[in-house]
Amino acid sequence: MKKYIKIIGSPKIFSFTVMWMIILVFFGTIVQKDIGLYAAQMQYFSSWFIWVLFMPLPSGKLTMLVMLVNLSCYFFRSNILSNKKLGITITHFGVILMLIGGALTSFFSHEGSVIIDEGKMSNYYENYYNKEFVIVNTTKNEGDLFTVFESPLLQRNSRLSHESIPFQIEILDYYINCKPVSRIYEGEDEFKGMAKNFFLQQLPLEKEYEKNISGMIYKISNTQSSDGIYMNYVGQPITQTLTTDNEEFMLILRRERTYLPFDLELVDFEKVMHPGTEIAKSYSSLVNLIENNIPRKVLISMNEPLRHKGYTFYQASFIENGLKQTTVLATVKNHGRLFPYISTIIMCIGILYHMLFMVSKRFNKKRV
Amino acid sequence: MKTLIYFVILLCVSCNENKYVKIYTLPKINSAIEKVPLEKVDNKTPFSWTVPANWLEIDKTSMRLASFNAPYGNGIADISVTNFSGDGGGLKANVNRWRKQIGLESQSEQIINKSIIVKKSKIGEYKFIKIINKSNEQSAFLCSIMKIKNSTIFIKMKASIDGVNELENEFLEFCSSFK
Repeated sequence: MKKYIKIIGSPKIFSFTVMWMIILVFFGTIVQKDIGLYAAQMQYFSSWFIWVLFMPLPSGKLTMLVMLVNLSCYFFRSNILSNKKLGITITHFGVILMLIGGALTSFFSHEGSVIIDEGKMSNYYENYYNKEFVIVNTTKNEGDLFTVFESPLLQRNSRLSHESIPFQIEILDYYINCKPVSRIYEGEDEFKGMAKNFFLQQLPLEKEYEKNISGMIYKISNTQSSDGIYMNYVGQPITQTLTTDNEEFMLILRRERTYLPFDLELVDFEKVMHPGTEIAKSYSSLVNLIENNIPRKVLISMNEPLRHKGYTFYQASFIENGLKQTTVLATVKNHGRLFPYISTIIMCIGILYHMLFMVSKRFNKKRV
Repeated sequence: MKTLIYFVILLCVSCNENKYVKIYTLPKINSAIEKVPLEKVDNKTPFSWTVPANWLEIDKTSMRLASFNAPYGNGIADISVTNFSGDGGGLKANVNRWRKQIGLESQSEQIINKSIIVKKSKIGEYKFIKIINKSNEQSAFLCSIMKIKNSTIFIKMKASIDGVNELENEFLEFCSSFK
């Protein structure tokens, strides 16, 4: 066992992983120009492998996992708490903590944006990248019943069904980016809703991934009289509805929503322009944070985000449409938020301890 | 062996697609704005119309009898229905006002009349005009002017040039449905 730990924990492996990370960062940064920030991040850092021609090479996630395992092996060595090695041990611990923080961020952090019109309220934020297909049963007395199929299920040939809905859905086509195009002739009887007059045309991916308009064409079966081919796209102005078994459903493709345990109401949005220009100098949102029906006013400005219950709301942008003002708050929930700060402090302490120990040792040697 | 069995069970559980399905209940949303009434009868007006299936009725302003959004390939068109007493300012003044809004010069009534197409609805004839400025691709109008008894109905669609071309038939269908 010790033999294997020695091999896996070899400093050579660590050196190679660091060099490989430098290469990944270099190429990952270069390709951002062509494929955009999100795609570069997904390919080079957030995936396990990156395909170069037909060869899979370790991507950022796998490289950091190897680094974590390699560094963890250090703790199986003997005398790691001795004065000579204590600094190095603390530094190793700091690096491992940083890698764990990275993993927590990668797997569990959420980000998106809350968009609120002046005078209106919101209790959810929408993911920039992921989409969800929502079926809302609007006939229940106790409220609207939402059945939400998340983005991993939204693929061509995927079949969606659940006990909460009395019909089956087969996705015939799913496009990450598309646009609706009017049909010259009305579609066959098989086409229902918007699909009767429109079809979806696939478009090349936008560099800014969040600008892609996703869409899907799907077949619904097992209804009383509404079987057919339907289509949905993000931002569709007319909600697709369907009636079967005396129940009414709304079918919506939208950005993935995460509901907040409180409400935000935009009381006032204010922007200050650079004198004589139409360029915004600063903007801020006065919001009512409503929790358990108790409101409290909070000002969110460009450098002063609102932090509440693990969520951080940054003033990111705004939309103006005539007299109507809308604020855009970038929202982040990151469980690994504090790890970089704590791990950096630990690493500094480790390096400082080791350096002071080595300096004092050399100093003592000279004196002898 | 036990470890292997636990691993297989864990693998099966983690492959369960139901983990990507969420179910929740929320208080009823106001779905009225999300559904399109096929036929709109306004109690204050003596006429009604039929809305194309893929148009969405949106909040009307004080000036408008109704407002709609209609999707097309590259965006959403804005449609307004207004009703003014008398001739509402007249054909020439209104057409030139719309022309000015998209950067076109005013025209004489004679020239305007040449661009007008007369169509029929169930409450009578209406004048249809398409106003396009080729150097302003983002804004173009389809307009209909319908004279009824003591007032005039103005129906206007604003979209890009591609949009008005794409939605022209739907717009005419809508105008012809007035009864």
